[in-house]
Amino acid sequence: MGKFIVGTDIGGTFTDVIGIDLETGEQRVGKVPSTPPTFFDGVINGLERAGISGDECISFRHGATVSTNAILERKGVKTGLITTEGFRDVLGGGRAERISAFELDWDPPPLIIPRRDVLTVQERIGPWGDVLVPINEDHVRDAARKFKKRGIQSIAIVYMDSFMNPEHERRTEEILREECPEIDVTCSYKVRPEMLEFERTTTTVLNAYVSPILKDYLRGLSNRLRTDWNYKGQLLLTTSGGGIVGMEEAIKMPARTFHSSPVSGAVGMAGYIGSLAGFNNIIAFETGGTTNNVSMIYQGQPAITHEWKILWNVPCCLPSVDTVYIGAGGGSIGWVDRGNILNVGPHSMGAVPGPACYGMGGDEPTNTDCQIVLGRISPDYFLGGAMEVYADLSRKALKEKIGDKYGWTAEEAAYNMYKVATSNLMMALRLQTVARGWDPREFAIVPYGGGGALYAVDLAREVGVGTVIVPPLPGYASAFGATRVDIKHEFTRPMHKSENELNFDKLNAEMDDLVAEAVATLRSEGIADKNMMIQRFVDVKYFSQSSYFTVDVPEGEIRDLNTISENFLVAMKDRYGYVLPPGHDQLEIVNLRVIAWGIVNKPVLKEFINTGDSKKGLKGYRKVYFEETKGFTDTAIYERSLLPTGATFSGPAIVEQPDTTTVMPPGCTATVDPYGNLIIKVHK
Amino acid sequence: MVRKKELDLITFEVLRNAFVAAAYEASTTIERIAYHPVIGMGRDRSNAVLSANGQLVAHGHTDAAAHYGSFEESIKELLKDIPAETMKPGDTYIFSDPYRTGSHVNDTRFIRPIFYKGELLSFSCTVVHWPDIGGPYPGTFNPHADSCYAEGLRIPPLKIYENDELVTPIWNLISTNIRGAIERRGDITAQFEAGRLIERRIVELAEKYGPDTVRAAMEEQFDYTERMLRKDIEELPDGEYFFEDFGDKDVLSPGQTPIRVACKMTVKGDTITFDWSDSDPQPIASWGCSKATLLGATYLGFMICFPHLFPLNHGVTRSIKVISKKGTCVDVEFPAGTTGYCSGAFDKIEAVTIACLGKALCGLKPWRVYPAAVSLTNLCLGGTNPRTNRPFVQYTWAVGGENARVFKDGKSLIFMRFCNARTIPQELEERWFPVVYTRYEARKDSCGHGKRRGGFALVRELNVLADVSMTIHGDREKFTPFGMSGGTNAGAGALKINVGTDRERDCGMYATGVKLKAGDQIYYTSSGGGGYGNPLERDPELVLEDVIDEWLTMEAARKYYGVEIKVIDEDACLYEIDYESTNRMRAELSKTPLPRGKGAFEVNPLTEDIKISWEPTEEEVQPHITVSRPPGW
Repeated sequence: MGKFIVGTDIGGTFTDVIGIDLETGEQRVGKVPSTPPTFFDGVINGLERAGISGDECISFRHGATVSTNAILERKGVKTGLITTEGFRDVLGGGRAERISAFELDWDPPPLIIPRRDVLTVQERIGPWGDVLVPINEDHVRDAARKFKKRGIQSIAIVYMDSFMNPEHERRTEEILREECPEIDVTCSYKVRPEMLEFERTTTTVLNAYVSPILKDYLRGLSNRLRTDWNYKGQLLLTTSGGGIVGMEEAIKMPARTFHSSPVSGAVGMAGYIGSLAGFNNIIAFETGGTTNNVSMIYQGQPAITHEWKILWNVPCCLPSVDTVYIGAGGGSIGWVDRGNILNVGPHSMGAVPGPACYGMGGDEPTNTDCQIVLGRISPDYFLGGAMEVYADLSRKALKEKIGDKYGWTAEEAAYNMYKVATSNLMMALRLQTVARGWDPREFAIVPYGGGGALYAVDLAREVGVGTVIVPPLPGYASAFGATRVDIKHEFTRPMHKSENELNFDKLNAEMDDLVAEAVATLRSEGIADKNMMIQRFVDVKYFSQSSYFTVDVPEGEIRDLNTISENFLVAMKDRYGYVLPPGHDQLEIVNLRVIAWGIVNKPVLKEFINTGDSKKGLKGYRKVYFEETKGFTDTAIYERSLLPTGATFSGPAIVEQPDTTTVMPPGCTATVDPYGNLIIKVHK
Repeated sequence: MVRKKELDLITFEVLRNAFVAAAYEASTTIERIAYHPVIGMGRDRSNAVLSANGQLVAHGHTDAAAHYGSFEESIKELLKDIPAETMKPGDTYIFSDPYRTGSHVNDTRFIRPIFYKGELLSFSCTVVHWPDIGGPYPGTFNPHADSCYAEGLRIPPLKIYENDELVTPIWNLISTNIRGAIERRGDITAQFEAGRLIERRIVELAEKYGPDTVRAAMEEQFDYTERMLRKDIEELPDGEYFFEDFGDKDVLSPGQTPIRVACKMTVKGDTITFDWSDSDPQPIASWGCSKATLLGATYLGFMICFPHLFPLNHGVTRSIKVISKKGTCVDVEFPAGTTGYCSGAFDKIEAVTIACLGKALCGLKPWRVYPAAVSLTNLCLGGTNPRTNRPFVQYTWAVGGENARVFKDGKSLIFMRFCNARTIPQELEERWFPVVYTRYEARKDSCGHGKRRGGFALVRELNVLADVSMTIHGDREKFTPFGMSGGTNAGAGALKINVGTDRERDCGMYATGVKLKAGDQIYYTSSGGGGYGNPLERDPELVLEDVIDEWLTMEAARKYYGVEIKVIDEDACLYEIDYESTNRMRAELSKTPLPRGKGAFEVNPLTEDIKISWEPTEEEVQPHITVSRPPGW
């Protein structure tokens, strides 16, 4: 009987399943079509395909892509918002910014809740938690009545300054439970007990918008796993914070599951694969059909953001791994403007009609067409041969839409367009690295998703990264990553006290409360005390600063700010590159934070020796265009699965496998390591 | 020197994007590092890359357009005082003199010469709006200033950093004369670091591509932009186009007379000239702007109509001719006050430029025809903060309605067209400053009405928790953002205190140093956006939606749109249009056209000859939307 840890991930096209035996390291994988709208059918199919049975599974992890998709596709439930009288437009007004400098014809995406369904209640908590205006309970009952009549299925409650005193939100929730028990309710003080009204509102609203959907989905999935797959254990969900939580915890706060898929790929896969190869600093670079996601792992820890934008002006503001969408996808169009300059994007052909090579009526040249014309993607091996594409259509689009304007051949047009596209990607990538004070030379890139390895080596050279590590199964990154993350919960409490306002007894009491809550939550998830790790932090700034730093708190009781102040100055120096020394201004403690880890068993990739002749991997040769040779060069084509451990070969080369293609320009050298990773040393 | 023709297309593409990216990156640095909420959270800052002879190459796409026009003038003026050959690596100059740099004293510039291997290669220019730079009133704005001496500290070009070290005596002189010097110490570090960052990026480019290639790419940026611009101008029908707009009043003139901003735009072949000579003489009070600001505002209006030319650069500035007469409100002379330029002259110049271009574009690219939009209302509060016992200056703004588009309604609660800033969270302000907010909500019926309506204005209300001095520099109380082609002008801005009590007072949009007591309440509201087309032609279903969402009252639906709406069940949000009454009302209303004029909800007669040749749908406009920002973001 196996002891498998199973990770699953649902993508737009495919559902991925991977199981790794905790003792033997045996891996079983399954990739099956996703099955909207009942996505868990796909999960069950994938488990069957992988050949794992429920009684062999000791831990089941799942990325609930369904919650992110509900937002992106506007398929959440009909949601209403109750807010403080006078503040009806905090949600709709957002931060009032535009996407671009001069364009007035652009519009932000439509609101998730129309203004008519934002109802207000007379009440006001002051900035320091005192009740300025008592709550008018009749207003709450009026709102309940209206929402019922309007068919609202989920209600968000967000009052101004409620994080300082949640009494009014609590009372509102109570009344709604009496008046309309069938409607789901989300309170802002539970989702994000922190300052910034718009950010708290949108996060709470997003949570409310998907909450009933996620509940139904998870209950449905857990039933299916029990009845059709004979799994008796816990259903664990990956989170945007780079951890996992139990199903009941996920249902309490669905917003934690947003965009967990690229995050578990970055944290559980890219970070881990990197560490096997001796790299603590990793740029996790995921290229899917339409987007690129980049996350940074620095000294083994993922970079965290508190404002992750799902859509323009729709941020989800929970601490989450900073996964940034950059650049363009395979469908982005190349075009020549009136000043005779070649541009790529931002317009895209999408999946339908798609790139010209699909032959579905698209006649604009796209990034995918470039890759085909340059010989990088084999038209006979598209999605592992699963899809027929037409190189002549790519050539025609490139020649007519770009080449003819400059007197270029289709191949020259493709190459120039590829250069423009990578230069755009490169600049966006720099913004996530160099712009944040990270030196790319200290990092390795781990590409994953279907297209990451097409660009990774060229990008690495452009930004100065020396190593690219292509994992064995880049197409299963998120599912694999899910098997390697720990249980993680985060707790926050506002403080907002400057040095001379601070009461240390109160500070310690509040911190103790948070720790007690953290321990209780972990226990409820079955974590033994010896496997708990509790981290304490404070958000601190100079009084006159707008933004704060999250710094470690020393062990034991806090009786002065000495260590906190030292940590603050180190953080400031790290992030800003300079310090305004103590005495410049008073310190202010903004929030208390606790992160609770439940450390669980993780599968470990075992070294294995794949013996054989390196020649066996060589499938043949074809002409591929590289900048280094300024033309088409005979290029060795390798089959990934046939490459033995220790095989070493140099570019120009193409490594093909069903879930991705790796492009190695002349000058770089690849070695297959004992874990099956392709370690590519990038030439200068 | 690499000759331009040897610069290959791709290298140019890479460099041209890298210039914008450097400026944008510098702006994000400020966002992270700056102390005062208006600079960090609010983004009242801009960054530019310029050539060694001070020609604008690129700026960031989230910056304040009100700053853009002044980049070139600032370097030109700096070089007059401090010859380039005396500059050294590690120098950063501070400069803030509205007559030379444009805009107002609050907008301090940090200018850094960028050297590569000892040779001057480029300049960076970082503009940050300091929330206070001295003067009689907290925030420095002084609508009643009769000269620059009643505003803030003017700073000639001075070395503020030498060898990358702060020149302490200069900083001491400045910090002694301004409020909030503790936080400004953090802000100037952000401002300085932004310039250093641009320097690092430009030097990296020079290392990789060679300094001559970088220079050639700057030149090509200008030529490339000019090529596109000339093609755009050539398409416009030759001729002269006039437009004018007004500021409410010169508060220091005997009759509080309105101030007229007038433009004659001439298109001939591929050339375009904006002649502002006919504008009113400079007002006594602080409202007008200097020539550098006039240039900036004209460029902004132009870029809004041709956004694909992004970023604004020397290729645009050298190709547009701007004529003005010294001593007019758009080209003021020393010692006229200028702090009020941003809600005063700037916003009018921008709107008039766009209207002139609209007259030329309406038969060609009708989606580039835009009525006027919300103007700036900058409210300043100052006093002693009880939390710190230190002076504080709160500078905040009310966003409002954007103009209608010919194919779609205007956006509501959005920033003025001249900046891409963000609102400052109220919960943040409540902790920084002794205030509590009680309202952040759209004002009903405040849009310019029309077949396409403008966006709605914002109402903000707050209580002050300490004794403060209050100043606002707004405008658009009397002459509101104009509509077009039968659409009405928008609703007006206002500032009042203690509304609904016996101490209620209408302070107006030029309130200066008003003393408020702890507990006093402030009500202030911005203007909406101008409407487009006859409101009687608006689809009644759209009027219904606006009524259901409570943007519009039933009365306004009847009065302006002739639409009668019946309530079926308010709780359930069930309403319907009474078509019979609607048809009758519309027939009736069409006999008595809306009043002509320049005030709120009147129809501006000057726009009636702007007739679009066809009405595009949203789908038809979509392909023309060029997102003016660097690729990859």
